[in-house]
Amino acid sequence: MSLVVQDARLRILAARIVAQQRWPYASSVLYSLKPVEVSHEELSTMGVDSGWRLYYSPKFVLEHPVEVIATALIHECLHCLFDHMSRFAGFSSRNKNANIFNICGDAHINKVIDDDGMPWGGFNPVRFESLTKYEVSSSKSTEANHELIQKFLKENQEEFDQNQDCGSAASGGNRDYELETDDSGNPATGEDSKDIIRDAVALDVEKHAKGQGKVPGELSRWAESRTRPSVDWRKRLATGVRGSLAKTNGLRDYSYKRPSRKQDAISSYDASIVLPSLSPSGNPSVGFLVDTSGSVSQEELSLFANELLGVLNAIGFGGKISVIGCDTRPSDVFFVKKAKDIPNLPLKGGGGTDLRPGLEKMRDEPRPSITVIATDGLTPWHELAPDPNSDYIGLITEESAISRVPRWIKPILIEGDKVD
Amino acid sequence: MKNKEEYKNTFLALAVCIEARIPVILWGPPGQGKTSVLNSIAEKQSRTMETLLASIREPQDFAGLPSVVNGRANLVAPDWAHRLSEDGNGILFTDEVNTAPPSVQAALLRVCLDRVAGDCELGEMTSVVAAANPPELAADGWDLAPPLANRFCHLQWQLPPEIVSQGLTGSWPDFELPEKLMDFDKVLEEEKAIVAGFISSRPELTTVIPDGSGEQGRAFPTPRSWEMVATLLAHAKCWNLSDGVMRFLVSGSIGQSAGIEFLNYRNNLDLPDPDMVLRGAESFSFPERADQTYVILAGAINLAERRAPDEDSWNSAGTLLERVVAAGHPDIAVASSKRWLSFRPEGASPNPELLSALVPLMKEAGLI
Repeated sequence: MSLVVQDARLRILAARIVAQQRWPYASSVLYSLKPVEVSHEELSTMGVDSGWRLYYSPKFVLEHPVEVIATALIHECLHCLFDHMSRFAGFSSRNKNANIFNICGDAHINKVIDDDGMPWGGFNPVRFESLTKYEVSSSKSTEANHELIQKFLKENQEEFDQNQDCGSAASGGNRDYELETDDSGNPATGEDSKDIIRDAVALDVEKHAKGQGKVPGELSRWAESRTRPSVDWRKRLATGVRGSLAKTNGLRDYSYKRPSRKQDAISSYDASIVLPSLSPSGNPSVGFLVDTSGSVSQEELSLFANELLGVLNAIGFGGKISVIGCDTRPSDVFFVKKAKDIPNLPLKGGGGTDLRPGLEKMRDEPRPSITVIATDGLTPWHELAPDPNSDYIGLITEESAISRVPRWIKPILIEGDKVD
Repeated sequence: MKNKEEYKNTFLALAVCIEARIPVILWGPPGQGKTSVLNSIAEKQSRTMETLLASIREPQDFAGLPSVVNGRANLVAPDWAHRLSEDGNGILFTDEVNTAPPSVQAALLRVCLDRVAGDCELGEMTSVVAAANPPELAADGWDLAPPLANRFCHLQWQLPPEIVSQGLTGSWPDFELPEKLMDFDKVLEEEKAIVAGFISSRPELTTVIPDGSGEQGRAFPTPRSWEMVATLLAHAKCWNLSDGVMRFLVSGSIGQSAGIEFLNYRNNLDLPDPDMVLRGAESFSFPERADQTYVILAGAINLAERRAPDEDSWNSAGTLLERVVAAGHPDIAVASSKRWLSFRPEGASPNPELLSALVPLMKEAGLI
């Protein structure tokens, strides 16, 4: 072993110590990486494979000070934590490109690192600023950004001009320099262990944040999505509306109110058996109560309306929905068939929130079988459902208001989309 | 299921639930080979299997047909219930449970909980398996009512492409359970003690009813589902199954939030006692996983610090540091050695060989 390689290994280990002092909550993943040196021709920087072995070019490592190598180590750890490998394998796209996916993942990771103020020295990492022409942004997921770049390249007939290789942990596949899974000196970390380590890091991040320690925002969001997974509100709206509609839309549940039509067939064997029948159908109708006190933005409103009408369309509900706006006083009732009509309704309001008059108006006039309420949730509520025959679904934009929502409303918390 | 390994883990988790007689529900889109997998398990174990489609059943198919005999109402059980009851050791598979109307779900509750259909007892040894389409996929799917959801271990079931292509060109993979290695009753006592220990340290996780942001109609912690966790883990441990299988069993029973925290607690209990590590410093063998080595070393050094200025403990900690260096983790040793040097008893001095191994690294990292 030449002296250069020895020195490079020393620097990698030293960088790990520096990285561990910066982000003590990432210890579990930092120490799980097994450093393996490869020639500069094969890999010019640093990369991690699917078994969490860390490959590095000795030249790259010695060219930069230990603080910069520590930053690069944390960068590779984030590929592992965010599980870019499985996500690349799992997402479906007409035109998947490992290099582009790698770049998009890098841009997200480097934003976390920049926000934390870590040094990059003379190294020039991938940043969103260098990708502006593709219209990618930090508020979209790596998958979505990949699609945007592909779309741009196709429309403009261009080739992608940036190249980045962070190993298979960033985008799957196998590199020539990567070791066999069962390499005797450096065996791969199994899927099970990887999940356990991610969980341990997520819990350590939360513990650190609770102990008044500083944790980058993106990382705490990642930890929270792991320890408290939530379901996309669109899914939950769809489920809620389907369930409620099913109750009124056609024959849905059994009761002994009327005898079953099969009764005659059974009676010829044993007249003593009594069968229930499906209860008769009703006409479903949907009401949409909008909080116009300014707490729900115009943008959110059209988003909600779009989703609601989309769900209704998908289950074959062809009717109109009744829309009422309310700040402290209800507006007139509008009947709407297309989502794009909603922003044009005269629903302007302002000042103070009390949705109770709106709910009462809804109960008195259109009397819908489902009422969907879009609000931040900071309003007084009725103690009991205004209309016991209606199902209430609340789209709540303010997390702290969830606990105040009464039991007769099925609350759905609207959360931002996950980006990492 | 992302890949073959997850498929294997899910398959084995399903086998554990069937063996443990804990009701299990498979969530996934249609056409994922759920029925064929169950058929093959039933066939291999020579057990009767009855498959029912809950969505086209009526409440009385599960609760029994009311019939009046001599002025008394009986609930006459359908034929499938009698077949299972006669076998006594069969498998009941109900598909599409969440597209069944609420009254049918309510009737199913008693079958799953008490293994009773109408007036017919299916017997303690009957396994209950259910399948459901995710509500957003089903034509008119409902969330499972919480009381029913809480009685099941929930597993995700969607075949990964790897398995499908292997199945289409050759054979669908099948996994055998090994012989049970340990005494089940003893292991069950241990697992119950671990669960009890966890609950007393985190009493707020004893019962958590899902709120607005969580997944409704899925697993959540209650005293019943905690007991399920202990039973399932005891079975999995007797079979020496992997951590991945245990993860699915635990988060399938109490949900992911509580599951992650519980498993982390349980994994840390597996780590050796710091006192034992210090006493056996000469011969202690560190685990394969470097992150565990870090935790064990930090724990031992913590203990030595609490015993300061005890020279023996300080020296043992030094021996441990040497062994960590020898195992190829000098950086882990450095991370703890600063603390170790800070409580050096008077007259004691570190092994010069250890220092010569650590000093260049500490210099490189800018610590000295």
